[in-house]
Amino acid sequence: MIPRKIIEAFFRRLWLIAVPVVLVPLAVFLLVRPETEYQSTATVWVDRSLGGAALIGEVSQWTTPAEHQSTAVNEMLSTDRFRKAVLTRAELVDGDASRTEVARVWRLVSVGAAERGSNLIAVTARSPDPDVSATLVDATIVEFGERFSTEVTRTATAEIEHYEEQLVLAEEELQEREGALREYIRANPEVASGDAVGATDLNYRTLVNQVEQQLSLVNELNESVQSAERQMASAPQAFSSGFIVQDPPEAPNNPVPTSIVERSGMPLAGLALGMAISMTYLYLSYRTDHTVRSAEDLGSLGLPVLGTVPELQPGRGLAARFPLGTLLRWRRRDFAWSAASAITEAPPERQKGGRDGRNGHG
Amino acid sequence: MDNAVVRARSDLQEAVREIHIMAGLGPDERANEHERPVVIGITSPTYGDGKTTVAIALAASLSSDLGAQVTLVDADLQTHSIGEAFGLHGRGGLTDIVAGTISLADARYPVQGPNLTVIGAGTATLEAARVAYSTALRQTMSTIRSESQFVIVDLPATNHSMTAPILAQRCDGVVIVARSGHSTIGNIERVAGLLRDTNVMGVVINRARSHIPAFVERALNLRR
Repeated sequence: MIPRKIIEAFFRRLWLIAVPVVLVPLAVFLLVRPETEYQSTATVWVDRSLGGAALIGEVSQWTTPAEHQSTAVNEMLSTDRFRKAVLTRAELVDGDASRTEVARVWRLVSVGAAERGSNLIAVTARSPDPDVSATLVDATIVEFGERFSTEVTRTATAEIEHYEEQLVLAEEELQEREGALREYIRANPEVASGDAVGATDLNYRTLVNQVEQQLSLVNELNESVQSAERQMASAPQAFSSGFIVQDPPEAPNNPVPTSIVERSGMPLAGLALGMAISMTYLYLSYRTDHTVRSAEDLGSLGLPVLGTVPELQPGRGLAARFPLGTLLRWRRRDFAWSAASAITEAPPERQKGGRDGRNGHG
Repeated sequence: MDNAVVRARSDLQEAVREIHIMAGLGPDERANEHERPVVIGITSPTYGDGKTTVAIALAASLSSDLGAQVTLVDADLQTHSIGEAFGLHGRGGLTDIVAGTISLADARYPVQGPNLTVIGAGTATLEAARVAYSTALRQTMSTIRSESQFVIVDLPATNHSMTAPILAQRCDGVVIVARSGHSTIGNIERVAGLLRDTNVMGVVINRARSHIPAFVERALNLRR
C-alpha cells in the first residue's frame, strides 16, 4: 500500500515536482535540437582504368571500381591536408589557415563518398548553407582530380628517371658489345662473309647474340620511358575519362529532413532526466518529512488519534491561497478562536467589537 | 456572524464531536460515569500548535452539545491565551486564587450562557512552577472539579515549559495537540515521555489540510 504521506508530498509539491519534468526536456530541446543541414550530391561514373596510380592503388578483381574509388576518396578526406585543400578551394578557409581552424570548420560540414553500383559513386556534402554544400562537392571532386594528376606525374617522373638511368647503362653495354663484335670480325673477316663459316663460328654467334639481347633491352627501356612520358602527359585526360561527373552537384532548396527519432531522442532523454530529478526530490521530501500529517504517522507511538481538526481559513478561494493566504496567516489564530467560541449558541461579544462586553462579566 | 466564521465553526464543531466520541466524553449509558475523565488538560509540543483553539472548542462544544457545566481554565501562565481570547486581561484568575487575593467565585467569568465559565491565568506575578506545585492549586482544582461536569485546562506547551507535566498531573487525562505538517513525531514522542505519569488520552491533529484530490483518496483507499 502506498503511504499517504508520499501521495500527500506529491500533491503538496506538485508545482515543484512538475518544474523539472517540463523545464529539463524543454531546455534540452532548445539546446541540442538538430541543426538544419543542406545536402548536395554529385553522381560520378568511375572506370577501372584509373587504377595503377599510387593514389588509387592496384585495382583488385574482387572489388568494383565504385568500391575502389569511393574508398580512395574517403581515405583522402580523412587526411588534414586534403581537407584543408578542399576547404580552401571552397573558400571556407584561407590558404594559410591553421590546422585547428581547419578542424573547427570541418566539424561544421561533412563530406564523403559512397558507392551506388559497380561504376557509380556519390560524392555528398552537408553543411548549414545550401550553396556551401554544392561548392564542397565540387571542390572535393576537383581536388581529388588534381591529386590524382599530381600523383600520376610524380610516379611517371620517377619511372622515367629510373628507366633513363637504366637506358644509359644499357646503351653503354651495347656499345661495348658492338665493339667486341667488330674486333672479332676484324680478326676473323671470314665470319662476316655471309657463308657457312660465320654460322658455325661459336664465338661469333655468341657475340652477335649478346649484341642482339642488349639491343632488345635498350629498345624495351626506350619504350618504358616513352610509356611513362605518355602517362605523365595524359594524366589529366585519364582522370577526366575515368572519373566522369554524371550529375553535377546543385544547391538544394530544402534542408535534409531529420527523423522523428533524431528529433525526439534527446528531449525524451531530457524528460527521463527531469522525471528522475522530480522523483528524487519527491523521495527526499518524503524521507525527510518527519512531521505528523495523519493518523498513519502516529502509529509507531501507540497513541490513539482522537480527532482531526481541519485548517480554518479566514478566506476562501484565492484568499486562502498564496500569496494572499500567506499574508492573511496572522489572522488565523484570532479567526480560529472566534470559530471555537462561536460553537456555543451566542457568539462572543468580541465578534461585535468591545472587549469589555464579550465575557458578560460585570 | 461572518460567513467564514459560521463555516469554520461548523467544521470545528464536527471535528470536536469526533473527539467527544473517541475520548469517551459523550453521554454513553453503558459507560461508568465515574470512569469518565472530568479534568482534561490540553497541551501541545510547541506554541502555535493550536491547543488553545482546541481547548476553547472542546469546552464550548461540551457545554453546547451536552449541556454540561464546563469550566475552561487558563493554566498557560506564559501566554495567557485563553484570557486573550476572551478579553480577560487585567482580571483576576488562577494565580490570584493561588495567591489568595481573589476567591474562585470572583475569578469565574461566565461566557455565552450559564453552562460555560472561564477562569483566566490571573494577574499575580508568581513563579509558574510554584503555582504548579502549590497546595492551593490542588485545592482550587478540586473545588472546580466538584462544581463542574467538565474542566478543560489549557496547559503550557510541554516542550517549552516543564510546568506542563506537573500541571498535567492535576488532570484526569491529557490531550496532546499536534499541528499537521509542523509537529514532528520526535516532538510528540518527547511530550508523551514527559507526560508518562499522566493519562495521555490521545492526540488531536490540528490544522490538517489534505492536498490529495478526493478521487485519488478514493482510488487509493487512503486513510485520513
